[in-house]
Amino acid sequence: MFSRARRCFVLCALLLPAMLAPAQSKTLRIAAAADLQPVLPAFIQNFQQSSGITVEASYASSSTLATQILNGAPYDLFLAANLAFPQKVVDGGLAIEPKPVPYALGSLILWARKGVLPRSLTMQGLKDSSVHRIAVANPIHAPYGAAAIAAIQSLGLTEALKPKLVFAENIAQAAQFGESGNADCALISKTIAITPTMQNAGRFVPVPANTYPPIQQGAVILRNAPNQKGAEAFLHYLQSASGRSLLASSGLEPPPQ
Amino acid sequence: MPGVAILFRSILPPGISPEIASGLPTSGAAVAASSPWLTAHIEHRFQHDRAEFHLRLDFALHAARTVVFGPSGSGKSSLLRVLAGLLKPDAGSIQLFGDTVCQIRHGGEAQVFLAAERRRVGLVMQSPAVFPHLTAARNVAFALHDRGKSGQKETIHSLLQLVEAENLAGYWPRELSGGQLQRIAIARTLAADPSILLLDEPFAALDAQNRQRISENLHQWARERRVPVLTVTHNLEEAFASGDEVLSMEEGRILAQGTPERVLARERERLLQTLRATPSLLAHGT
Amino acid sequence: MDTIALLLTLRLALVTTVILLVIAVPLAYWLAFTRYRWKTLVQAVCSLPIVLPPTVLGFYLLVGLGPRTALGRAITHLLGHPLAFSFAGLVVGSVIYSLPFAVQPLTSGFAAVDRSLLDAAATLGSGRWDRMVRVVLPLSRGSLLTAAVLSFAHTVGEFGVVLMIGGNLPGATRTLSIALYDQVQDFQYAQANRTALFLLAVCLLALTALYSRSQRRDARGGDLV
Repeated sequence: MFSRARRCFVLCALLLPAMLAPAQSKTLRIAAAADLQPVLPAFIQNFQQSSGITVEASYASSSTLATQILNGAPYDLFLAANLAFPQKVVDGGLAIEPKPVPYALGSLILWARKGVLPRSLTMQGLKDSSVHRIAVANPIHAPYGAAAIAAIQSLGLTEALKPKLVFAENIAQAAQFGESGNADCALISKTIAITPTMQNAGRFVPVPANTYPPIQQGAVILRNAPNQKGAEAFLHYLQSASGRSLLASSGLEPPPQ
Repeated sequence: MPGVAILFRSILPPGISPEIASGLPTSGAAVAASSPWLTAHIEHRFQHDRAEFHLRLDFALHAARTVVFGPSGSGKSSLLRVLAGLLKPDAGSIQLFGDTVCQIRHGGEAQVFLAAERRRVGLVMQSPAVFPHLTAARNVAFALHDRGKSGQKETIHSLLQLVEAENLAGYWPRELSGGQLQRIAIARTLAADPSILLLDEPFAALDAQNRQRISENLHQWARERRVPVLTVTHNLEEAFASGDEVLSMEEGRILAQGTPERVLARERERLLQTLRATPSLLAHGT
Repeated sequence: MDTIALLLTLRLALVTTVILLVIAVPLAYWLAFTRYRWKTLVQAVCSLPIVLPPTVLGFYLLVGLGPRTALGRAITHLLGHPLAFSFAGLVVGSVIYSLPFAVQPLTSGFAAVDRSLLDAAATLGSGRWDRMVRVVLPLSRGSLLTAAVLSFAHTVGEFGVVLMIGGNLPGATRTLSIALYDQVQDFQYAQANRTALFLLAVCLLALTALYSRSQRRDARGGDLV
């Protein structure tokens, strides 16, 4: 018994390094803001076909990703939903570029579940007593959340809407709160609003662009990236003509030059 | 032949030969001829300590004091558990004072099965099972509900007196000896005002003197209230001292029922027959 | 530290613990004494929250009990609001999430009560309920305390479910663990450190108290009185 237990222990000890070893370094690992969740898969598929590089994307709020990166997460490329979080990575000395590279301009959408505000779907309409819960992304974590709060503020709706707001961890969760029926309306990204799931569950209008600061989405390639070449190639593809047209069809505009 | 060995040991406890035993005086009143207070027809198979037991019993009790006598493992304790409602037999019926408390057809659901708490059957178990979180007095008071505080106090005191434990009232069970715990258990059972009393080797942990006095007190208590008592024992002496009627049991069956003398005579006859049939056993046994 | 979040967390843990004891005592009693054929399945279901990720629970609470299902609509009608984003929702989530931490110590505590004591109580005219109140519970005080402390501490430490169904509302659903998460996300490491230390201290204290008690009891020979 004892010797069997010991053999088993030795075997485990031998296998441990293999189990703890990082995944293949050939793989390009992207940390992507949650609004890119419906966008990136198409890019990744095209990119993998043309370059032969395998891509793995992790989605979370920009702040979560920035925190992870600043604490040593092994990503190659960080695609954020604003410029401030990648700037933090730059400030932390973990980026190659001196400042974040803008790759897209996002837009904020007011989404309402079927049957909510049937006559006119507007920001002012959110004051209506039939709207109980409005999901927004946490403004601390998520740039779209910050944009939503800014829009509400500039429209003078802060007092009226404050009791109705519920905060999701990121923009995808805000959409999920709405889609699952737990919230009546949601302020989300266009990228998520135009997905079939969200279109089926409700309808949407853009939030006037002059009510919130432009959502400039920035990227940085990480200094310790195991696959720096792959990261550069992917960022190039995003900024190429074909990349831009694909961005446009998924709800993102090209960045202002 | 393990059965013979058991019989041999139980029939002849150290210090008692069959001759002496048969010479004991007849104790108690004669067996009453009126309607039985208990009729039981019980069939039950069960496992205990990896051995298979099979209870097959069919009997009626009339006497005020009955003793079930048999070697350990003969099913005596299980019989009491069935009568008390702690064990549901596979099949059978039990009537207490003419009321059916258990009626189960073979392989079927129980048509009647009165739970233990509704049978008013007092059971003193071999292990005294005194509640460790209550003092001796609170143990005795466990079944006392409605009586007033002072009435309760009086009852507790008189019952503790009956088992000669009035000085133990304030003690916690962990401070008491096995014999003291057994006395508390007896007082506690009497406090519940049972309609019959089942005693499973109730005096095992008491020394001979205490045993006799407390046993007498207990039977007097029962006599005054017309509560029939069924005692289970493997001790022949006790069987004679506290039984108007004796049932001898072995391997889940009743071998004989009747006055102590008759049962003993039959047992002795049986034993002698067995001994004659196996002379080698006699040589080893003496 | 965020006092609103602190008070909310304590309130949530307290309400959850009380509800859990009310639910878990009869459930554990049943588990400890029944010979029901599907008992093991019930036991497994009760233990699920130990192994399942809290996200599973969060998912079902959000979607299964959301306004899209009949049950969810009934709840919404009853409460006047959906379970999600409300204190009531967190309580429901926490009760399920911490259920095994109440049921398991109670079940093993109840099962350890000497059966002959229960038999004795029954022959003394004490019914099922009476036996639980007067024999089993007093003899299981240690297990009751363990169940309460573990439920409380586990609820204080709850995160995944709250993140999924809470909506981060101050005073209603922003618990300490969520506040800590926000502080970390916001790069407020000093504040985060204070919150984290507090949570650490509470849980360490609770568990130390629990273990020292059981050790004292072992030293006294398992004596309960």
